[in-house]
Amino acid sequence: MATLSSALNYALSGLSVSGAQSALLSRNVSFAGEENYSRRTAEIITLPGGSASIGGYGRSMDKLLLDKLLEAAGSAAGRQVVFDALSRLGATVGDPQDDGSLAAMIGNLQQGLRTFEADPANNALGASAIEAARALADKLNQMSGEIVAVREEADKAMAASVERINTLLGQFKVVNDAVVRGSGTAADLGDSLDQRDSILKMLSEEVGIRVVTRPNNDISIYAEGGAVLFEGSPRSVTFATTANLLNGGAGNAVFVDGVPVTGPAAAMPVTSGKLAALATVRDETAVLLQRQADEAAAVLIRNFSESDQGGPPAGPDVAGLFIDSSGGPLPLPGQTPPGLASRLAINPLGDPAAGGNPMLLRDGGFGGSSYVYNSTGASSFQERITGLAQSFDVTVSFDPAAGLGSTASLKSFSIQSASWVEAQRQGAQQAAESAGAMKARAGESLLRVTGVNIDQEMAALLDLEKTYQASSKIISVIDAMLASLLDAVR
Amino acid sequence: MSLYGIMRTSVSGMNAQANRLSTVAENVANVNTTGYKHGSCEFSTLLLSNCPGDYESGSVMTDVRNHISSQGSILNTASVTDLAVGGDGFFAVSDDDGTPYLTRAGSFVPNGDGDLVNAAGFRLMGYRLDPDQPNITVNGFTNLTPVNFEDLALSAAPSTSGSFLANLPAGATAIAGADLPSLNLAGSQYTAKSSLITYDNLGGEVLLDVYFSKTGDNAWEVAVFSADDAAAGGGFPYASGPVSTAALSFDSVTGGLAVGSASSIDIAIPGGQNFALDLSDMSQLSTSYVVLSAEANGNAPSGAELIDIGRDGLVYATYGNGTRVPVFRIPLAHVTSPDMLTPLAGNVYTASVDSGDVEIGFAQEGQLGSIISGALEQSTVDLASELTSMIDAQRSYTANSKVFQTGSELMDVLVNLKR
Repeated sequence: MATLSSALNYALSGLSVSGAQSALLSRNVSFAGEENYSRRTAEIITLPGGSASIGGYGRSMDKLLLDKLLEAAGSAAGRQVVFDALSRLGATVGDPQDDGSLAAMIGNLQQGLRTFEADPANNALGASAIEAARALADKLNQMSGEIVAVREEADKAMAASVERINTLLGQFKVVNDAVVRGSGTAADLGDSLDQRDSILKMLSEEVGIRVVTRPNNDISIYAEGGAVLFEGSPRSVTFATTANLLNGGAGNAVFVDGVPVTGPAAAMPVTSGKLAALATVRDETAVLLQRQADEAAAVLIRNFSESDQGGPPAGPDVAGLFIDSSGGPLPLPGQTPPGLASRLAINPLGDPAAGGNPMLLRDGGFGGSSYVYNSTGASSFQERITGLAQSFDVTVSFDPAAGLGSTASLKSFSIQSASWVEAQRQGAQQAAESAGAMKARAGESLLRVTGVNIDQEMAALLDLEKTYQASSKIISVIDAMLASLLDAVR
Repeated sequence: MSLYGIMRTSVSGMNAQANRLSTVAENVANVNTTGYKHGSCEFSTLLLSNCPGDYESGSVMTDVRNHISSQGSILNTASVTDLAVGGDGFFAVSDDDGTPYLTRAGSFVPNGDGDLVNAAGFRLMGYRLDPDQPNITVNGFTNLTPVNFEDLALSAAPSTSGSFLANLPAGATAIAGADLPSLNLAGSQYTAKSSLITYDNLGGEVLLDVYFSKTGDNAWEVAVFSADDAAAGGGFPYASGPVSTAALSFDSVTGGLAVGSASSIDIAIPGGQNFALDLSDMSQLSTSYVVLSAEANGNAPSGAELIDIGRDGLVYATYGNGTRVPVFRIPLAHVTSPDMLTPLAGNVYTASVDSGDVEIGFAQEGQLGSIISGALEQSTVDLASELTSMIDAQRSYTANSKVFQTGSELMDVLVNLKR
């Protein structure tokens, strides 16, 4: 019905719609630049009869871009974790050019032996060679300690990450329920949706996720690999910190909904996010480096071991200057006990500081009288020292499980180990940088779609102002028309 | 006797204009009454039989018309239970005695009993949807109950159906027969696991663990367990065997389910209903295990937190757990000739002989229109036309009175003929 009264109603509905739009616009402007805020719009509909009304609220969002960002955030966070851990591990192995590196220590010991070789009667030179050996053993102990520390920290960080995932899933339940409750109604769900997306972003940094939308805008979250993280309610994510990481074995696995998702036994493995990266550091990278240190220790013990010098050799080979402080047997090639590097020590029989005789280095006999090489007791006996000094350059076999091939000299092995760590570190750095850039790009593209553009808002504000003025003008004109009609009634 | 005729005719004319002024007065008084339909007067002549050469004036009859079928403009409000009809339908309401009426005045608010009542105190009637679909009587008000949100306090629904859509990795290693989850052994292996929340009869959450295990080329086993039975820390062995198992076989060409393969799995939910999980859209392609959708109906016991009313008249209650359930359906009533309905106090109408019988239908069916929540239908009165009618009626009344005056003066002359 087109009448003056309905004209008044239309103008009134126009005013209320403009009012609601201004409220929305001012909110948009106040959140301009906020990363987790998506621009809101009001959908204006025409009610039967013709008046205008807010039919619902829209929120700028691009699900594909969000998915991309979630993926990028997971991989960036994970790669950063790997890079940090490798930087630390690289520092403990050291640059072979530096004095404190493993390779430099091996060089020092070799140099010490060469000096001793030139003057085998000199007790002081023997003692300084022993000191160089002690420094080398300490270096391997310290490396091993650092590697275990890295692994233990990764283990603790995994526990913290799991706790955070559980907290985030708990928060997600609250927000998701609010969204599901409100969807299908005209309520403005923008705040809940913003919160939900920001929780997803945080969650994806901890563990790679896939998001599935269900009816009523309900969201289910699956971890990479398909384990259920959230479906109606959060599933349990459990992890127990590993008690003993010294033995070089893999740590405990993280379970999502009862399924192991990290470690060698993972049924549905996750590959991105902090959690997966920490598990890789703990169970792969650090373990490999530990194995390399253990191999170096094992080869040292073997190189300095003594054989029975009797007519027909009666006894087995025994450890010489370097021993396994736990008293373990002489490590055979391919059977290096895990954690050997942490237990590498100087035989106290040859340690002047412990009252030992450094000349055992020249003469042999750490294993008893039948292991004495210098049978005549000559003070110029050089052969044993020469053999020991050369042993660093002799190609021996290494366990290929350490990742550096099966044969090398100890010297080149230590350099290879350092360059392996460095190469890994550089690779991780590049990966972390490119993943970080990818995340930044994805974030920017999403922000372009969801963010508030002040220019656009201001232009809309001018529009709104005109509409509001026009509606109020119509009201005053209708008022004047009715007034003139009323004047006609006398 | 034509002079008396003139006076009687003009009196009928004045009465008619008074009637017209009455409708104008009523219209102006109800200019802001929600759902009010304006009235107007139609006049018709009442003539007497006349002999040629002698004219006896007739009179005028008034017929008050209510423009019940006219649509008022619809204006937004903030209340969900403010309802407006955009179309030809009427809300079915009842008074305290239960007598049904029709109305367009939809400003409903819950009263002390929780019934939705409008400004005139009439209760909104609707069909209760749970547990079964309403039994609709087309030509009457039977089975209608007052729409009431109070007794929606707690509601639980057991799960009966759901669907699971995922891709199973075609390249997965087959699980040895002795390690299959269906055997429920400590070392049971599986290719992929998912879990789904369902509800038992009392609305308790039952978490179902669903294991997919490749048994051979294009052949998979689905085994469903109740997660409550899982060993400490989750997983095998469960305290009791699988709740249900099924064998899926896939077409090696399309990657979809092969003809003859199981396409759903029936699960007897412990303490609940038989739950049919639809697997018909599962695929087996050469990619990783990806869940595309997983759904189950049912909801936990929880109070209604939010009410919203759709344009089709379905009243949804949203429960604490986010489940949205239609609880009432508000019907719309219709008669053949709405303008002939008998108006009664309180903006309600009742069917009359002329209007035809009441028929009950639903919004968005035929011409009934839609129910708009959060809006009210304004009065159809237009002040401008009422004011002009008023002026017009005033003039006509004055003209009639002049005729009466003239007749009266002529009578005076006639009476004065005799001294």
